[in-house]
Amino acid sequence: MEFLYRVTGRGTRILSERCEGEELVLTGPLGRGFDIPPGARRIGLVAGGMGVAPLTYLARYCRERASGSIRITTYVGARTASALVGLEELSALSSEVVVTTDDGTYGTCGVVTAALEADMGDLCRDGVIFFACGPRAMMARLAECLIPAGVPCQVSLEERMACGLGACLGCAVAVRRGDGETYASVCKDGPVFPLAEVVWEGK
Amino acid sequence: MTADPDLSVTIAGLRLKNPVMTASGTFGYGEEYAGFVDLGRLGAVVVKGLSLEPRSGNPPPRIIETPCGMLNAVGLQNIGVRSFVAEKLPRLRDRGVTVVANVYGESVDEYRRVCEILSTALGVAALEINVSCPNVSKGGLAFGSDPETAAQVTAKVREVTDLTLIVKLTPNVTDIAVIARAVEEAGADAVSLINTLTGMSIDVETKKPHLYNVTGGLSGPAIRPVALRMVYQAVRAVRIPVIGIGGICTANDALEFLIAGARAVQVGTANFIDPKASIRVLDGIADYLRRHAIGALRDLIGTLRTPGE
Ligand SMILES: Cc1cc2nc3c(=O)[nH]c(=O)nc-3n(C[C@H](O)[C@H](O)[C@H](O)COP(=O)(O)O)c2cc1C
Ligand code: FES
Repeated sequence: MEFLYRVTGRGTRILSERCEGEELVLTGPLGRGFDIPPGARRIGLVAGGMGVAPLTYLARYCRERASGSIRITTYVGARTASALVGLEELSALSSEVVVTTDDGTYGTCGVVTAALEADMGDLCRDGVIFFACGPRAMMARLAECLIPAGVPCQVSLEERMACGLGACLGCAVAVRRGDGETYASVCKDGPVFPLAEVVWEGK
Repeated sequence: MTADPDLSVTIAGLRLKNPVMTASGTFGYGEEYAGFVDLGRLGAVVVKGLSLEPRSGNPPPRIIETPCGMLNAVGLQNIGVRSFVAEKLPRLRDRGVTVVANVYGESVDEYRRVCEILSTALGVAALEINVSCPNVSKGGLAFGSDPETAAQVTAKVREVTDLTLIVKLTPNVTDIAVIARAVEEAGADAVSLINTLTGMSIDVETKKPHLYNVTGGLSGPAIRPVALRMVYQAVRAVRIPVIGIGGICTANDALEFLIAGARAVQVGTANFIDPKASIRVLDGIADYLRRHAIGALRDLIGTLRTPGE
């Protein structure tokens, strides 16, 4: 088993200091993952920062399971060159990769969603389905670009969590259900949601 | 081999097979933990606070880890008492769970109506009234921070229920003994304490509070000594049973409360660290009793030896 994660606080630091052979207690799998339609022929992956972690796993899964050929077009964005992680494996799994950095220190200068918009015509012709994971701002821009075009997209969200079981209600995300808005639990109802279901405006 | 110790405890009319319950808001509606814990083994499951209508709760972020604890501002998101009775309660009943329903209200009338509904439902063993809620008619001041309003809520609820009535006290008061006595006089069968301590935490990089709600409730091991002190004070102040809550993670923690005089305990935030925490606490208490050759838990409760006694 393998995990890609960023050390952001005490917990991840403690985890990073474990040595080979040590035992850890793991609870999982939890929640709902990406749902890949069986007939998918063209897939778009959009990763911002640490978003490469789940999408690399998704790309690997698609490569292993897909019966016929599947074209994976990947967009990776980061603040700066040094913040790019896991690019190698994701590139190897993808049919093509576009990398952007906010400061232009690697790949194209700019945001990842701008690069994607330029390719929309081609992607849509192939009936693309998108999978995305990244900072909220990136996903909100993705929503502006994909929802009006009616392009399907699933996003993997992040929120601080206490229980991971849907019990504490600590990991709320605002979603549209029916004609109203409500809070769903990222840990149990997600972490993957349809892009169009998430309320990106406001908070 | 010593025989299995008798762990049963009685809270007013309610007999529990053991003193270990799960604390409201940390154990969902019970079934979330069914994959980890045999819910029927627990003394009781206290479910998430129920209001008359469903509540959507506060915007995120709602939680943040703090030293030896966490802050939460979930905002009492819940499915509403009617959905609880229709959808969740039958499933708990089928599992043989002793259910304590935690009640939330924004007005005395709301408390009363929620309790009325719960009192006619099949399978609720007791009511736990959360008086830490802001009283809308008093500018959001918690019902439980004033002895008069705490007593008023208790008395109004008492009128509509024959179930064991537990009033859950907030620690955000000057003198817990005064509040405990006030609700005892108003008809409470037991008090449980403590609810969370109001706290706050700031991200200095963004200069924003970590919680959307700015302030939140502190829970976990960080509050345990404060909780234990308040339970000790409450035990001395009232004749009704006291249920100890606050940072209980291990059997040892629970035993501190029981020795201080708590009739039962609730395990809260510890469920997030280890979903089996409640059962480990339970097994550890039984081990302790065996080790000390105490045949019945009753004989341990309130055996605190203070200097000079
Ligand atoms: C996420 C969370 C939600 C809670 N929700 C409720 C609630 O709905 N009603 C209530 O009376 N107490 C609620 N509490 C308070 C706990 O039941 C308990 O009194 C408090 O957390 C202290 O115990 P602990 O340190 O063992 O967690 C909540 C606590 C947490 C951490
Ligand atoms: S982390 Fe507790 S509900 Fe999601």
